[in-house]
Amino acid sequence: MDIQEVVRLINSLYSGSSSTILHSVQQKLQKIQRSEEGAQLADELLKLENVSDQVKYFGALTYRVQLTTRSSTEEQLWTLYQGNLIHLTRIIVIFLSNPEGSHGLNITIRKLMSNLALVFTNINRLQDSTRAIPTWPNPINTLVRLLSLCGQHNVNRWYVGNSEVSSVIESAITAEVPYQELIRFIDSDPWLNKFILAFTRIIVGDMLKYQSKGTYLSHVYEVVHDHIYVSTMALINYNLEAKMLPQDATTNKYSAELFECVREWISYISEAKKHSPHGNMDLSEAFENLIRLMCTNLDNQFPYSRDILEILSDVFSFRSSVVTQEILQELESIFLGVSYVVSSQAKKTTSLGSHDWMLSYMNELVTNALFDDLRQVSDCFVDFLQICMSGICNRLFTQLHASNTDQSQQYVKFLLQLTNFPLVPVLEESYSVKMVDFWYDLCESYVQLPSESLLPDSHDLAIEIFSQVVQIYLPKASLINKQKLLQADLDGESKVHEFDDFRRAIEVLMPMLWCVLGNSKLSNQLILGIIQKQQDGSLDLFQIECMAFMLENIIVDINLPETPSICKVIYDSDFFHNLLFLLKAGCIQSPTDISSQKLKLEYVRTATNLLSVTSKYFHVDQKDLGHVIETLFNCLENSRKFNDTASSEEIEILLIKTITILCKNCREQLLPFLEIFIQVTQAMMYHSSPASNFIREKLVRSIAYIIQASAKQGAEIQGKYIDNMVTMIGSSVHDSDRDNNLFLLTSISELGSGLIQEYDDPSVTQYFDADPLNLRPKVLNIVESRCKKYPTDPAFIEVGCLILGKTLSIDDSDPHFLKFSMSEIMNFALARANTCNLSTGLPYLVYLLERLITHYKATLTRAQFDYIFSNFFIQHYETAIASDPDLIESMIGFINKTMDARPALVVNSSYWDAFILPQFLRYLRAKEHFTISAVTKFWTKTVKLKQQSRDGGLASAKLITSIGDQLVATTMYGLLHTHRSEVFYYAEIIRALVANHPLNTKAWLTAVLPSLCDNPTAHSRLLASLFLTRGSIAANDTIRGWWLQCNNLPRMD
Amino acid sequence: MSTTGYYELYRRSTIGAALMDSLDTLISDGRIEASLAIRVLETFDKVVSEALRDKTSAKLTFKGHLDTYRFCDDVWTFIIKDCQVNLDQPSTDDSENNFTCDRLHIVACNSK
Repeated sequence: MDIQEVVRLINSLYSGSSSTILHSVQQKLQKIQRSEEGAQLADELLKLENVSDQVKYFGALTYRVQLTTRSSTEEQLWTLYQGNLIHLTRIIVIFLSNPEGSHGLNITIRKLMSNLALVFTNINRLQDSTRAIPTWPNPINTLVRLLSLCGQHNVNRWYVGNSEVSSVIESAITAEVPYQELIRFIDSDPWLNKFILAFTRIIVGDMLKYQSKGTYLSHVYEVVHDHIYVSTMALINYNLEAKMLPQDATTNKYSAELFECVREWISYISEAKKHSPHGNMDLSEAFENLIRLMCTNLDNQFPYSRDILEILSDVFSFRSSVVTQEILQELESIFLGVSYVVSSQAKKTTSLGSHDWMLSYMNELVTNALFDDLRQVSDCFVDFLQICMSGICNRLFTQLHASNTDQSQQYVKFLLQLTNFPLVPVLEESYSVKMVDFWYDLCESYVQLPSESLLPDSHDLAIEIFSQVVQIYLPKASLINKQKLLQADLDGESKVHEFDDFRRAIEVLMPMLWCVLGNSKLSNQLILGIIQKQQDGSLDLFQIECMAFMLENIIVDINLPETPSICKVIYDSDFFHNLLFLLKAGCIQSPTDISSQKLKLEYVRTATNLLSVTSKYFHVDQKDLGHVIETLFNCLENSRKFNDTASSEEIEILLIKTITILCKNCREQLLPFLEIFIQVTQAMMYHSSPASNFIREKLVRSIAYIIQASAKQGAEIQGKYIDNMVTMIGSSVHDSDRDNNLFLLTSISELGSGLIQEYDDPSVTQYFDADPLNLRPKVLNIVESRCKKYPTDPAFIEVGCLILGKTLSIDDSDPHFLKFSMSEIMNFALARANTCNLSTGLPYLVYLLERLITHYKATLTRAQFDYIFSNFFIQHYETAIASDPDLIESMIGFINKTMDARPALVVNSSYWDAFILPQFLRYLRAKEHFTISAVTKFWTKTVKLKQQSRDGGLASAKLITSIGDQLVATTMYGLLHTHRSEVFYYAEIIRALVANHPLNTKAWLTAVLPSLCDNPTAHSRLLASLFLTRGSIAANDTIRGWWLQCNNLPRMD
Repeated sequence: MSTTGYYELYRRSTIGAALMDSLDTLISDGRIEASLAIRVLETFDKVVSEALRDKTSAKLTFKGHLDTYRFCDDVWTFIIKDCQVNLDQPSTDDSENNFTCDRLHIVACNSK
């Protein structure tokens, strides 16, 4: 090994050469790193002077590679352990001699520390008393001792192989460093302090990583608890008390490292608590110090508040188990000015009453418009409240704790004041935003309290509190605030989206508050808010929108016809008038600027949503129904005149959806308007209406709902309406425009969907079965003519199939004008199959055929099935299907669907032996994901036929006798060569084979596995495990294990 | 805050499975070491988790009957029956945004 050559390679590795060169260099270096000479190489590289920082880092990295690949023997481990410690000590001493010029060494130092963290974990994990190093109790003490000694020696003599240094290290392994010595040491140089903090942070940080990988660390937790924790807490607390002086805050070199160290230890302790009794380590003193620092106020300068609030916020969010009740009490007092948290001890002499700091800090943030920092405070505060939730709820509403009424009122008052923070939500303040979750949880906790535990006046108190919450949030959620956000010069729209999320959160909060407030104090109040006029008699759009927005989510769960209290309020008011006023403001008023265009869209969305959810109100009162429908059509007709194209398209969709829902829910009530609907539709069909085809199609469906209700007037009347509609649709398009012709078919499909009905009058069914108006031939003629006109356009085939198959999913006794016979459907499908482009058209035909088979499964004969299979698949197999994986999937899917409906049709088919079995066996070797997915399902179903019926059992037995060995061989071949993500599919077949034919399968597997790959260990393990496992998870795991071993791949999931 | 490991559950997603298949190919071709593949997947676990947290705004709401729930090893499992699902995304077709399912299986872990 030529060290200069290695250095040259390392430098070229970091010089940005081409990827080919890099790959080759990487290969060479990795080979050396893993070789027996790796440790020596690491030592040489770290010893070199006048080389780049990358070379030294590579030395540390090489130690890491050696630690993970060559540290199994005592000798190897000792060499690596010594090497890492010697070089870490040496490099720190060199760093200290010239800190300004040695910044590049930092990364090497941290890598060596990380290596030692691994050594520490490995040594203590085993705790083997027979080893030369049975335990390494405290790496901090070892490093402190070595650095002290190295400083006294000549650093040049501090090298690997020096027996004097070796013995120093040996004695330092179990060195004890008293508190005073430790403090003197870190006081001697700020960099030493930083390095020791970094070392303890890296040790626990790396342990968290090992823990997450499932490493057994029980003994290590014990060692950390007994030794490192003690040293670290001494370090942290000394630093927090003595080194973080407020006046030095701006020049402080420790704060970042110190806070990082504190964060890592909090993470470590919260995780360790879950895994070991030795994870219980008290952080109270550290928290006390942090809180004291947080509350430092130096002439309205808050040097550490931001960092510490960030730490606390994380603790409250994820690691609340590390905080004691005493600390919570202290924080509650600081945040809220009042403390309810019960302390098990007497009140300590902590800074209770530091609420002034909180107010001063927030005042400072507001004054200086530091909204991000303000948001951080609110995050921390609300996270804190969340962990005290059950206590707060009990204090306020139950008899469990004797509480002072004044304190309760003060407490609630402060929370409400914070929620009502007097700035624009999202843009300037986030208290109200964060507090939504708190109020939701508090309300939920209250609702779930057992009634016997409640205080006598708790219900009144709850109503009072939550009514105030509603009053606070309604103006906060108003679109006037969104307007301010839209008008503010913001980068991107993230704040606007955040505001939308905030509104949705309040929308979700309302139904929870409704549980306490009910209709009288919430639903009806919101309705009154909608109908309320301003002093000058005008209407406030923002208020109407906000009330309507909140009301929708409450009304949606209420059955209005059975809720007279709400219906009465609506009946006595201008509810629909004002709602339509909002709708018109959104649809047919010109916007003044871009932001108002966006708000107009919100008006329409809110108004249409509320109209949709209140549609069933018209079951009890129809006086406003006509006006509502008229306004909706008026808006639909004119919205394009007042809005830009994109907005008007969206508005039209909202309007037509509302019309459709109204028609669906109020069919009978809208019967008197049917003629008007038809006239409007006719106008849209014949004239050059700007309405899109989508709008027209949905309008047809809406009419269909109303026509469906006309069945009560007699089948003839309903039939007449349908005939008129079909005639109108059929005669509306004469041009050769492709989209118009497609619209025609889609309209018929929509008409058919809207008329699906369950009607218990057999005369209606008889009428449509007899079809005196020849509706079916008319429709079939329209469909055929359009499909012939566009024979290769898959969209026409798709809609044609939808129309022909419309009634295949409904019961035969239900009436429908589109009940085509099997022969009509077959003729249509065959005609399309002969003229269409199969690669795009066949999947739609297969969809129709699958529904046909499912519908007629009881009566379909083997000959009919063979006819279908022959004409749609066999005839086109060589010319189209065989070369197209999508069509192969369609074909296999069709067979699978038939197997589900009636397996005998497939098993007794003349194509079973001649085509299906041999071809589908071949597909087991396919590479396409969807082919594999479909064909493995087929074989699994086939092997499991035994379980379904006697015939199935016979077919399965015959199959296994004839091609069982081929099936096993092909499945295993396919499995071996498939991707990891597809192993599961093949495993399903193997499981089915093992479960249904265990003896044969074992023999065939034993015969075939050696011929597939040379891995007898994997084969024997598979055979041994597969026939013992129970359950799909274990069997899949066994099969995947075999696949991994044979392909020499690592386990990744 | 910490460097604790991320959940590996997204490896079973379509994108995760595709990544693993690609890594397998690279290992089989001798272009990367297995250890690097593992590192890539660890990075994937982290990145996908962060991306889902920070870069997605789609919302889904559902209503149904809570049939089963359990909490084991920090993993919540819910089975909701007769579930109505609403997706909050712009679409012209209601059926794309609103659908029902007989059984909805939810697996939920703490965010990391």
